[in-house]
Amino acid sequence: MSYAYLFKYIIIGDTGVGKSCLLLQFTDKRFQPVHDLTIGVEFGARMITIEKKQIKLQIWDTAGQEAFRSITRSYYRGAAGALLVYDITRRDTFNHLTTWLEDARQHSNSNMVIMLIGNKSDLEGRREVKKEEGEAFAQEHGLVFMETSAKTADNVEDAFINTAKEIYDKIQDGVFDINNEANGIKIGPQQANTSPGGGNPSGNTQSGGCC
Amino acid sequence: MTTSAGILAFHTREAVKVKARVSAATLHRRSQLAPSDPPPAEWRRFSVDPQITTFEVLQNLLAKAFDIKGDFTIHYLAKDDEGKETYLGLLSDWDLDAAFLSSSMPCLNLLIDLKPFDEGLEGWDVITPADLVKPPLVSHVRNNAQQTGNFLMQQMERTLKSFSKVLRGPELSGYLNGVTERYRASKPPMSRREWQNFLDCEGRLIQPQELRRSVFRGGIEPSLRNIVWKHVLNVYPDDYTKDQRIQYLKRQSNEYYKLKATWTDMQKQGIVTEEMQYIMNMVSKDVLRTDRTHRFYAGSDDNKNVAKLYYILTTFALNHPSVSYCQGMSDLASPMLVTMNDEAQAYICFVALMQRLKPNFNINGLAITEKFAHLSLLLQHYDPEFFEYLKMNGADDLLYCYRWLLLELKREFSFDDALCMLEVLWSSLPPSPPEKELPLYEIRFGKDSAHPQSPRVLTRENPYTKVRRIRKQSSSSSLLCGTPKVHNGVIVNEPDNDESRRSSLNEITDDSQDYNPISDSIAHELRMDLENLNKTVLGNTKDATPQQFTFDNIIEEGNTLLENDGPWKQRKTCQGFCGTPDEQCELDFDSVEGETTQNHGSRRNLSCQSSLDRRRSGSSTSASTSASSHSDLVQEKADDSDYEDDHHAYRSKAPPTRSEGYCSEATLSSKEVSCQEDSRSVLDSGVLDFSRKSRSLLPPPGQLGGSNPFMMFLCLTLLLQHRDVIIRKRMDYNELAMHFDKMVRKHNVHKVLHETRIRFEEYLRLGWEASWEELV
Repeated sequence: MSYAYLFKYIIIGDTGVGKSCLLLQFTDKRFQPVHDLTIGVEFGARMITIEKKQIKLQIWDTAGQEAFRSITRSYYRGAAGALLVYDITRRDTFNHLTTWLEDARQHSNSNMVIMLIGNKSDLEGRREVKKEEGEAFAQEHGLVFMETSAKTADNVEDAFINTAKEIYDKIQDGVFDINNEANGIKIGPQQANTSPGGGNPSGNTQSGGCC
Repeated sequence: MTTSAGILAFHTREAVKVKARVSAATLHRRSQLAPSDPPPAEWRRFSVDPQITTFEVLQNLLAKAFDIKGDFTIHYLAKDDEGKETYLGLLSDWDLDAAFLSSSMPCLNLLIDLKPFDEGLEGWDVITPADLVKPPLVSHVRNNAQQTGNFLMQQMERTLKSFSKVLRGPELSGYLNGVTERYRASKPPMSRREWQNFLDCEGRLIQPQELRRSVFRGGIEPSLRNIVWKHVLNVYPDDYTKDQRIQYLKRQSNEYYKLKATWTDMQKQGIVTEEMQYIMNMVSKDVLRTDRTHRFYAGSDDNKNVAKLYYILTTFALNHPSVSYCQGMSDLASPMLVTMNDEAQAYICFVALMQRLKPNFNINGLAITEKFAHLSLLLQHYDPEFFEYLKMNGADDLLYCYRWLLLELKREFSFDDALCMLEVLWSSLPPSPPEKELPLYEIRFGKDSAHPQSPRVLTRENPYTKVRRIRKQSSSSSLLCGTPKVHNGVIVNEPDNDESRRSSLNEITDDSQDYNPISDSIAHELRMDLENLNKTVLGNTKDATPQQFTFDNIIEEGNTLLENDGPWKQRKTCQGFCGTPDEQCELDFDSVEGETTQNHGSRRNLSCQSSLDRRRSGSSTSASTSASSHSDLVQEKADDSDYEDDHHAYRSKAPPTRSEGYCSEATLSSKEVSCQEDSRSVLDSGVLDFSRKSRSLLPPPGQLGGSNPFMMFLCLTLLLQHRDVIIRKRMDYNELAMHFDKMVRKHNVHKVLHETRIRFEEYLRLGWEASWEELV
């Protein structure tokens, strides 16, 4: 499958906030209440379309427990986008955001787009973190913010695609050096030879794990 | 459509006829134990309402019907696709649903098997189903409509799942059967009879090496696992008789319940320290995500076995502050609980396992980093072409193997297959029984325990400082700028050099905002690191640090053995002795066996070279020439004169009592062959199968993979089995990583073990002893 660009994402956040479920919902359009806990990192991919361009998202879903970070820290590097996830029903996962953010900023390239995600929005009754708090945090740190539900799929698609749009805009603005793969962006194999304006005719968002 | 119709039909049924009997084997045992007891009548018949009968209710009914005091297992008669009748295990509500659904027409046929295990445990607190509070049947009947609805939905979901499994079944199972036949282990799984041959009259394990070899070759019959695993996992000190083992297990179990009570009591009193809170939170989240598709842990989150796993892990974490709890442990503890089906014994086994695996969970990540480096070395050695492909795709960092290394591949095979793989892996390691008793705690946790909290908990208070600290210890940037000292493939932590490393690190990390990776990806960075490792390995083999383990040259062992009539001949096995029904019976009930032999140091391989040698003698593997094929190792003639030197050096220096054997197939298949003749001829002719070249490229068995060489070869096999498809489809990093993610629980255990045994065997025959002698 040819693509105009490839963006690399990482998903980070405390353990049990629903990182793997977000990924599964995005790549496979399903929710699996019983699943394995992630060890190290797991991998996913999906094609999306932005401004008629095929974009391949490569997503690395990391383990939440800190102990893994001595190994998984390296995953930050070479990522164009990050989804920083907390659980709206667990305040501690919100409180740890600063740490995650510092960690991410320190180990990633400075242009990485970070999307803040308050997950489990379907569990309104157990909410511990107000939506406004998430918004405020995002604003303070210059992040994009969304509340999602990996269970109902609410906003999941948008979370990934909006992040991609932001990265795409940054490319258009010349912020990203697309020739440096350390930025987590790759030009598609065929695109590299054709003129940059040449849009990909094939249309809609496609799903499917491996291409 | 027929599916849903079937479900509906099932749910409208109000009663299912049940026919149950006790298995003949049980009756036989019973009559031997207490001949005065009249054997129970053959069949019991009753009806149950499938809507309200849970597994627990059924257990109660059966316990009453047959007056069973102890534990028992239930099987139900099911017909497979071809109409063949087999008994399937009935262990949970899930199974019961399946039984009602598929096998209850015209009646559900049950077979009861009393576990011999418990009857041998006089003095144990056996909680029988009859002791359990009886589920209030009335309330079930009064279930309101909503609950019934939920139940129906669940039922539908489960049924659809099992049907989709069945639908996917035939083609796959056809394929698997073929493969399985081809790669069947060279020996059937260890049976009870075979097991008894390793014991003396008092039940001492007198042939621990032989035991390991047998398990290595063929695994263990599932019903025997709870006994033999304790030996292979090094639970028992040497030389325990059967009675001693029973006493020991009782003591240890009591100890466990004390450790558990300490924190659960505190919790009940409302005393919850921060450490406790942290661990309890982590563990409770993770046990709900561990093997929940296995029937043992399936169903609602209230599953008792899930709770047991929680208690085991929390007790372990609180009493082992150096590692505390870390994700991955639940995966490792889960098979223990399933196999032992006893909380305390599972804890003991888990503790024994963690004795070896603790370093993997160390926060500095060194042990795992070393394993990555070694796997990379193996891959370069055995399949340079594939390695080159990975390198081109930036995938030679092998990070997608992380789970394999941390969980020792437990999650790469279906649960039952993983049990077999694990026991083979464990038995490939030299025995290392505890000197006295296995310590169940590092620092006993208590209300007033002033012991320092685990680093993991402490640093959580300020995770940022920890991240900094970790970076300084072992970050990839430290690997990059201050190449870790590597001795023959082993990364050595150098405390003396801390200062210099720190300063060089600061150059890179302090201006983290401006930090630009040197390479275009971390993969590249790691690649450089690996290359550094290789250089060091290749260049410095003579600087190797003293080896912790020694490895007995199998051939030499065999030879010495024949000359000296090894120590295991001093003991008589009870072959033939165990034959009388009474003793047989008693041994059957031996639930608690011990890892024994004489002391660790004097153990040796009962081994000699087999026909395998003959087949392979005169040839060797070589790194430089094994270029293209991953399975067909290119062979080259060994340098005879080199060999002679090594050989003589070894022969003259090797102490005759040297021990330790990593199990290998060749050492196992030797009995039938004329050992003496064969091994001598191989030795004396000097065309022994090893290559100095390979030897210098690969770390010795005592170091490879942190002294777990077989596991490294398992990982290698998984990689190589998929190398063709990866190259053919030109998979990039992400695609091949996803490919391996999709293979979770799907690898074929027989094929993987078969290939790994062969490669491992080749590796062990590289003549490590001689190499070691040279280095010292």
